[in-house]
Amino acid sequence: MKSYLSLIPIAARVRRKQSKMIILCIVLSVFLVTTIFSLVDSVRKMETANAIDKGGYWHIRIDGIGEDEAEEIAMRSEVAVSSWYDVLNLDNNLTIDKAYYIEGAQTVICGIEQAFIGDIMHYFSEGAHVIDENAVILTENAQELLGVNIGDTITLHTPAGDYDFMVSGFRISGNGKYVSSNGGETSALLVKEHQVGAFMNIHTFRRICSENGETSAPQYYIQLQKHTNLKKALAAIKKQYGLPDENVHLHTILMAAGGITDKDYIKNVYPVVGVLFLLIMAAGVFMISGSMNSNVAQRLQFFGMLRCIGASKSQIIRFVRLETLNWCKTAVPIGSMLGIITTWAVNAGLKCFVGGELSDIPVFTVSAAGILCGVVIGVATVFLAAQAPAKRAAKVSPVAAVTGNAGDTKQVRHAVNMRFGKIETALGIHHAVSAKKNLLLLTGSFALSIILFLCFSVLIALVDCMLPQKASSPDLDIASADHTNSVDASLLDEIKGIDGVAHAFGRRVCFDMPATFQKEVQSETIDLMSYDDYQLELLAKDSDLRKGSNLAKMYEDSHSVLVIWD
Amino acid sequence: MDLLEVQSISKTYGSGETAVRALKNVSFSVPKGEFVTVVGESGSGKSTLLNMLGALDTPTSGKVLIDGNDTFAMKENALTVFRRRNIGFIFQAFNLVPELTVEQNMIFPLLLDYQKPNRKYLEELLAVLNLKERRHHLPNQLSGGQQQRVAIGRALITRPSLILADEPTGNLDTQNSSEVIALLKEASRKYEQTIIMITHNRSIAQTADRVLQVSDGVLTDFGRCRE
Repeated sequence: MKSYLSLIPIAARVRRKQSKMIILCIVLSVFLVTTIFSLVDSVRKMETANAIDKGGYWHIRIDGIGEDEAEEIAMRSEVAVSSWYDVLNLDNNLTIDKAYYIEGAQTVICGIEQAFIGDIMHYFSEGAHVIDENAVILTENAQELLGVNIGDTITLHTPAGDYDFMVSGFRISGNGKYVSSNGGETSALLVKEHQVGAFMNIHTFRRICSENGETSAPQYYIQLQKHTNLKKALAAIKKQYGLPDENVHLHTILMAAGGITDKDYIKNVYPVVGVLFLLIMAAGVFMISGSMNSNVAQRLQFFGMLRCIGASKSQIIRFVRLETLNWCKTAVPIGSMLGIITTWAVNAGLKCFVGGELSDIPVFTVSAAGILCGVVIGVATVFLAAQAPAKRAAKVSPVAAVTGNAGDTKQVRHAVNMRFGKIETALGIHHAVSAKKNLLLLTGSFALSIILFLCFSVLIALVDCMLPQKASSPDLDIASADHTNSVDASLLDEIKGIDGVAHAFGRRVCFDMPATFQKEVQSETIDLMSYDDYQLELLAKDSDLRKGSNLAKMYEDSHSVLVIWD
Repeated sequence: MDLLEVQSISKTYGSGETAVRALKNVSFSVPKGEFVTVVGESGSGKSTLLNMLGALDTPTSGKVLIDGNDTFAMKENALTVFRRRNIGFIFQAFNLVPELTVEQNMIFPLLLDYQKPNRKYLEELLAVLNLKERRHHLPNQLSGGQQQRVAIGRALITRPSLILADEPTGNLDTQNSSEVIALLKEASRKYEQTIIMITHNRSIAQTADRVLQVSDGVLTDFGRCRE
């Protein structure tokens, strides 16, 4: 034993039962914070991966900069990869003499650099390149439309002349991922059925444009280094080159994952998580401080003895503080482990039972941020909670050890009020309210626990929203105002034809149709609603049919109806 | 110069009609190496006097000088260090740290003073106190007498000039009581330490070099029991 503080781990081993409550409080605080931050981190990683998958791995896109400026930007230390991007003839309504063709298929041409393939955008087939000036990557529909494959030679017909290219690869089908939407990515040349898109080397593109007298609006894509301060880098680039805001476009979701956005929900998550962190810390401090006060109160004679044999007040304070931090050695790892395992379980649940956008959430991920925040809250909570009990222990008089009378000798100002029940009840209530500090700590910890419970209860509503809805629940609902059936029936067929639409179904309603009934009912009208075949199939899937219902009678031009049973 | 000089110590608890005068103008002095017992009835003021001598409590008036140092003129930190190095305490209830072994309990005051134990002196103490074979035992594995011997060892480890014992034999049987008193007397002689011991037991009191009686806050010096 080299120091008086060596007593701490020795006593901790012996007094495990007495410190169970405090250890439990620390474990709970660390567990909650680790879980919350790990889940946020998982969602952030998932959103980042989704953003990259959907819209490519780039952070900033600049319009209207010159080549010199672009070269300078590419040399900056925070820039990992950059590429030019330019497109021509995406307009579907070009006249014949102005349009470009490959074997009769109207062609949209696009100039890119090699870095655009693989590093920035991931919608190219393996091996696709534009390294050679005559290399071209075609949109996937070219295989069917033009009957071409990798290695084939094609000729681009332009008003200024013909250009020969060798097909080096294809742009993989959009699968609806690259449809333009808020935060989406339109660089993928989303050509119409009769069009073909051709990605070529930027220098070749520029040559073709020049020879055809075309002007275009080139864009410059920039991917920043990992761990770069995105806000700082963006501000520096804008400032150095005097770039107006309208010329600088951000990859919204990717920047949001780094905390830069006004639009994305991820930015709103961080303040919420911060508030939860503070609430959990406050609840933890209250609970641990209350438990520690009891712990110290049971050992007043011990602290008095220490003072007697020569311990100073500062030594007692240091002793109590280190005693509480010693509990962190056990509690923090347990809390962190539980937090990580819970995060895995929640991620697995979201992936398997919710799916959809969450199907890409990483399951077995370990969040350094989550663990670090958990450790911080464990240590900080304990340190803050230990202050008052440590000072109380230091104030114990040495006489307490000598006399053996270690109890607090507070002045009692008034007797117990025995009007409200039995003496033991009255005494218990009196003790509970007489120690104001303990009362505050205990009621405060209860109140904070209730607040936290209410905060987390919204998760139940969230889970309810996230769980798969009925099969008949639409993603998008187009309805006429006031049930006037004003939506054109042809819209249904149009929507069915849109790429990415799995099913489209519609119904019409007619209220208060006069009707007579065989049985006595308290109504002379009936509401009619039409269901198409797809909807009728979904009724069985969603278990919306009462036992004995026979759907087979509903099809074709039958006179059978389904009645809504209330 | 006497090791301990008490000059007109008075202690009053409370005020007005409920005031209790625990000590009334007590004065005495004790030379180095003397073994003094303090006797008196319950509530006579013996423990209050001991608390004053050990600077555990402050008097209403008066001074206590230990080796020429006015203990009540010191600031708290300086007093704590002074107490740690110059005063040893032995309690009736032993007050050992239950999680520490015999040896660890004994060296604990040295660790509070950031000192390394003198192994030779520690071995000597263990031998004198007949605790060598029990050095790695916990307090709950010892008898009452053995525990009190550990407490004596803890009081002696810092080689204090003054040892204060508050009814050290109060929880012991006759045989253990005799052994403890004998150890205290031997320590007093061997290490030239001044021991002031409170006891109810008149026969034990008679074994000391000098007896002081406190009655109703007033000290009476019965003088030396032996030359």
